[in-house]
Amino acid sequence: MKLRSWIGLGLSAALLATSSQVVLAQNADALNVEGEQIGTPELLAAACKEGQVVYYTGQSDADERAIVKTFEARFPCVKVSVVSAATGRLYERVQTEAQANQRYVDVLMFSDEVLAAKLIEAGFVEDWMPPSDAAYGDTYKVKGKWYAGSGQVMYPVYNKNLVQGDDIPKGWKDLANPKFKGKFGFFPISVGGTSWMTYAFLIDRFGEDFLKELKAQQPKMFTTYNTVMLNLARGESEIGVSSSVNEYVVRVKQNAPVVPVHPEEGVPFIKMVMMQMKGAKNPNAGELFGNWYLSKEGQTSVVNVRGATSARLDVDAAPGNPPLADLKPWALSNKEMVEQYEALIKKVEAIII
Amino acid sequence: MTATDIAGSPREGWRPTGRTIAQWVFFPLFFLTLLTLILLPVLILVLGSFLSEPPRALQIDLGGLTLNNYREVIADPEFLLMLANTVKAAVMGTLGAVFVGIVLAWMVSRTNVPGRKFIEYSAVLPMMMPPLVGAFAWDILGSPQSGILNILYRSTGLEGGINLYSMAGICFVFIIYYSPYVFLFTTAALKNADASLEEAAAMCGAGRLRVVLQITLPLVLPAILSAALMVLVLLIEIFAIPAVLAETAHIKFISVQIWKMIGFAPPKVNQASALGVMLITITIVLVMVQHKLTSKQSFVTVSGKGSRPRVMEFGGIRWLFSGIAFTYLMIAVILPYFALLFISTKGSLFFSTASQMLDTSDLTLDYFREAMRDPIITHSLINTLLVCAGTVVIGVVLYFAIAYVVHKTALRGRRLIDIISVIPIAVPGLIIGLGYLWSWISIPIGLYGTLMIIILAYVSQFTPQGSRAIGGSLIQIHKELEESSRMCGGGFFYTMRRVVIPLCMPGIFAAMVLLLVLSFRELATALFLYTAKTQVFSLVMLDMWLRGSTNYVAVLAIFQVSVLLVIYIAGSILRQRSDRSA
Amino acid sequence: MLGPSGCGKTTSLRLIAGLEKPDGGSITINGQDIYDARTRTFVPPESRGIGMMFQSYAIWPHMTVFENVAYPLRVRRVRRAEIAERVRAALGIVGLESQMERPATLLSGGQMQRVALARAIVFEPQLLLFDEPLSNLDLKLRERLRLELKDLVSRTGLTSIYVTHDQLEATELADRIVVMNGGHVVQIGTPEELYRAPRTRFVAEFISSANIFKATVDSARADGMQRATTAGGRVIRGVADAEIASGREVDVVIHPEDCLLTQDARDDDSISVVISEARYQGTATRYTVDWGGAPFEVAMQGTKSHFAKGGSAFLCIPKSRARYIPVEASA
Repeated sequence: MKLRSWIGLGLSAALLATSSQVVLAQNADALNVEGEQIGTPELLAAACKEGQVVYYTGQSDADERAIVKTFEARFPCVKVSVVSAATGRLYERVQTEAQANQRYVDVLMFSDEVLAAKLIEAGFVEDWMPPSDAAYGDTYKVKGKWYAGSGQVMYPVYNKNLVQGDDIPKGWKDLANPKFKGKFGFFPISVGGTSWMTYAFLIDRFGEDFLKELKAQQPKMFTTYNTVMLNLARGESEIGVSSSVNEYVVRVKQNAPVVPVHPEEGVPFIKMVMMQMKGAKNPNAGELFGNWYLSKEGQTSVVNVRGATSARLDVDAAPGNPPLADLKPWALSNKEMVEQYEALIKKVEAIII
Repeated sequence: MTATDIAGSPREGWRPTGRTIAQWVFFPLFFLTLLTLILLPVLILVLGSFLSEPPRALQIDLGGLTLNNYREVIADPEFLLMLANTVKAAVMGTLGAVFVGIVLAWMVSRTNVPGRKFIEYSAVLPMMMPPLVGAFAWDILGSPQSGILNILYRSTGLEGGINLYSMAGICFVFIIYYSPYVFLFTTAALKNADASLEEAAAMCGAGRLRVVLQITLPLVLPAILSAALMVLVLLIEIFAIPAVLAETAHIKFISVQIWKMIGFAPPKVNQASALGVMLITITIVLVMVQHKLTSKQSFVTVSGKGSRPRVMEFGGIRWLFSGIAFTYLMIAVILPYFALLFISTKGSLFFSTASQMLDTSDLTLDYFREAMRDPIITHSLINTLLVCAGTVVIGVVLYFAIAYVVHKTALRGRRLIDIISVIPIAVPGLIIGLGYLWSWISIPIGLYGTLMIIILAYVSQFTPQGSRAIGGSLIQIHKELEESSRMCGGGFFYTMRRVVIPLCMPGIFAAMVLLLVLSFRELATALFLYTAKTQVFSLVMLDMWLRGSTNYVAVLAIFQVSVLLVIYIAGSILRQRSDRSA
Repeated sequence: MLGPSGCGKTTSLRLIAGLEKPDGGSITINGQDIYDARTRTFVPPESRGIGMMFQSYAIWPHMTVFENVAYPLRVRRVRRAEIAERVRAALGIVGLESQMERPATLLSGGQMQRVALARAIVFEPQLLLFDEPLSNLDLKLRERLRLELKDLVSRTGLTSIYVTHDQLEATELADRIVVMNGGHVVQIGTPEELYRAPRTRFVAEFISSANIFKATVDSARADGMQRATTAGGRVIRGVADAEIASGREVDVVIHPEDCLLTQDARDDDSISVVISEARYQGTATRYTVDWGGAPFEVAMQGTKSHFAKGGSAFLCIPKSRARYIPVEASA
């Protein structure tokens, strides 16, 4: 008798807990994000019913968990499960899961547009029209399919303890300064979408001969931008090219003696493409999450946590970073990128590996 | 009650005997387990290396059969250079590890060097530090510009210093983190080796050096060879150390290449499989060479009967030996731990002068505090402990079965099982994860996305180490001990439970501790298999490393090393206790 | 079962125990088929009710003396009180009651041996097997345990099969000896039969240190005896199982212990020999004498040595103590 009443008590308590959560979350006001309506009450109700989103991301796990906190505070009825891995690994997992007909992922974001195109072609990507579509320029989306949920720029960085006076670099050309020979941290094109875009930018702006000059500098070739930064910040190299998100972490969060260069010629902008997966278990929660991620609040969170760069012009840059417009971002549209993809890799690898 | 009444048949009535159960239930189940757990993922990878599209979820398009993956891998202009670097570093690292391992093992088990008990316990401590963390700690210590050691050295006004970003530096780190394997194997063998042979040599007038070189060493040669082989194979595929140290040194390694092929876009998983298959082939050849080398000699002298090992009495020189050993352990164990502790409490690890470095004003415990608050740390720690426990439980059962079949039965196909059980060590952890993903995702028992799939992957991956640890002690149990139980009326399972398993406990303990350590620190295998709910500790650490949060990496490394140390110490105490009661 | 190492005696024992599986044939104990190739019967060792003592003692090091001996009873789920009683009794038989709670690893070789014996008999098996159980012990201990074993086997009345390569052990312990060689049973008989009437040269050689030499039969049977002559000119009269055709070659077997050396010729059959070596052994003296240009062994009982090296004597071989074994064409 006693046991039964205990079970009853427990059950009702659990029921109370869930229902109060639902009540809390179904407050439709939450859908209004800084003046932007990110979904219908029906979407919210359905999302709450699903209760969770499985989110595969190419960004750092710790960062994403911090970003997602803001979302979960707004919509407590939806929990976000983050799985983070390098883009290639994510792609392989998504492909395998889809082929095994075991759909785990609801929302996917990674750094490679060409792989995204492959997924779209294979029919794994759901159509998606977020309310903030208009806030994203044509370069930063494939309308109705994917949107740049996050972004980073690549730029030269130097160690201010070691590089002083006239040697301080002003632009990309200074990477070829003979003073930095053997003390220059760089990366091969094979690292992925980010490095591809950087090489595309360098060839577009300075021509292939510039790559030969860089090669003559005997660069240390790293396979992660983190190691470029660490090496530079610890004074093992004097100058390097790295991603703004890696640079931001060591400069702002760890007080490293590194200084980013914002060159006249602009910087390559690399998109993290976010898409909704077809056949997902939690399509509504996924859409709600994606819509929020692209909203001003979501993007502000991405920018502040990671030092990332948003494709939305109405989102302020992270503290300590210049506004996107000042950086003169350079990017290829998805169409151009897909067209040039293979040829550029061949061209670059003939010069510098 | 007449005599025959009791003696006739201990278990009345028809009951499935141990033998029939074994024949019809256990062996088929056992083979099926080995097949799905070890062989299938590897075969899928091998197959994938000959296909143009990955065999995802066992969907195999044989139309895409091709040799192009191999051609492309070999056509890479840097392939030969990479291969040469990989092999060179692995061979030099192995030689160094063997040297250090043997010398320490000899000191501990055959000399009167002071503090040898202490040396014995600390010589294996580098194993507690995962290679990624070890390499990272050595990077902090010995990078040419801002390495702690170099800064201290230059602050005395001297020029130069050490450079870890070099082939020599990489080999040095290899030696530190892989000599414990040689040490473990060699000490175990030295303890079992019949000391009367050494005494006989000494009675024949052989000097100490001669006894060591001509009697002791050859006696334990099989153990050394098998340890050396294991180290060589592990060093060929090791990723973490070259990833941290080799890039700055402009030295390219195959393992780093595989990492790139799989991790970055577009992933070249088929080519990576081809590279992996090449490494598997190298390993199998090496294993066969080792079998040939050791099978020529019969080492019947290593008997189970524990005669007391012969201790060489040294005079004053033993203090010198002891000094050398302690200096080495200081460098291999204390220095890296110190480096981790230092940067986990240092506000900024970006210092380039001695005064910046020794500035204590920014010392802080904030990183520890923040790490403690982060729910993912506790969450992943719990997951990891669950995974460890699961791996140990399932692993020990499976490895015991493997070792028993290989060493204690006349079953046909047991040599094959022996070879199958070595294969996982040959496959780089970086790509075996793909094999598990591809082959197990379609098994319709809801494995994917659970902790169980990670456990099974670990169980599969650590088969070589685990089954050898158990086999080593199983082989020493005289078969008559088992047979006498049968003659006393004990059935197969009763005999296992009451005689074989209790006698095999030292090996089982060793395997358990080894498995705990290995599964706690394993990094690459879970990459393809984890989900938010099944995040493991080492992956959290990798994530911190990749996003550049170096201080947190150090904090997590200290957590990890502490947990492993506790496990190791508890394991040692337990083992000693069981030794004493046996 | 007696035979040189590798003759198959241990394998035979293990076949009986059920530790190995035969390729064919059948094994029956007390009328019960425990193995039959035709009916595919194979009773596993634990169900055969056989006690066995192993060469290595096979005392489990992780148990105490008591636990070792109690093991077969525990397997059979005997009541606790009865176990204690029967273990005590079994240990009493082997004289180890006082050592019951000692860990098995602290025992001496002889004690282990006794524990193994106690363990083998405690469940009153229908058959007891011994696999060279004394071969690891020193001589004194061996002799003592041998006596104890014989005593114990006769007291308990247990049928026992004992494997050894030591003919002394075999002759002393066995009611019947099975001599094996090269995987075959060569002869079965009482120790006396084997000594006095070995059927092959191998048996004669293996169980004793008899004088064995070749000779050619040159007479027909008279009074059950025949005469044979060696190439060197020795002439002996001896017996055989059946009459041997004149002209056949035989092996002559004469035990040194059956012969006598005397100062003076006793009868016409006494042979004059020269002592080429004398070996005093305390209770006996062994002589090597020169008979017809070839050595011949004689053993004389007694603590006194009568002949010195180089002296001459008369050799007397009692009638019917020389035995002829026809040399087989194949041998």
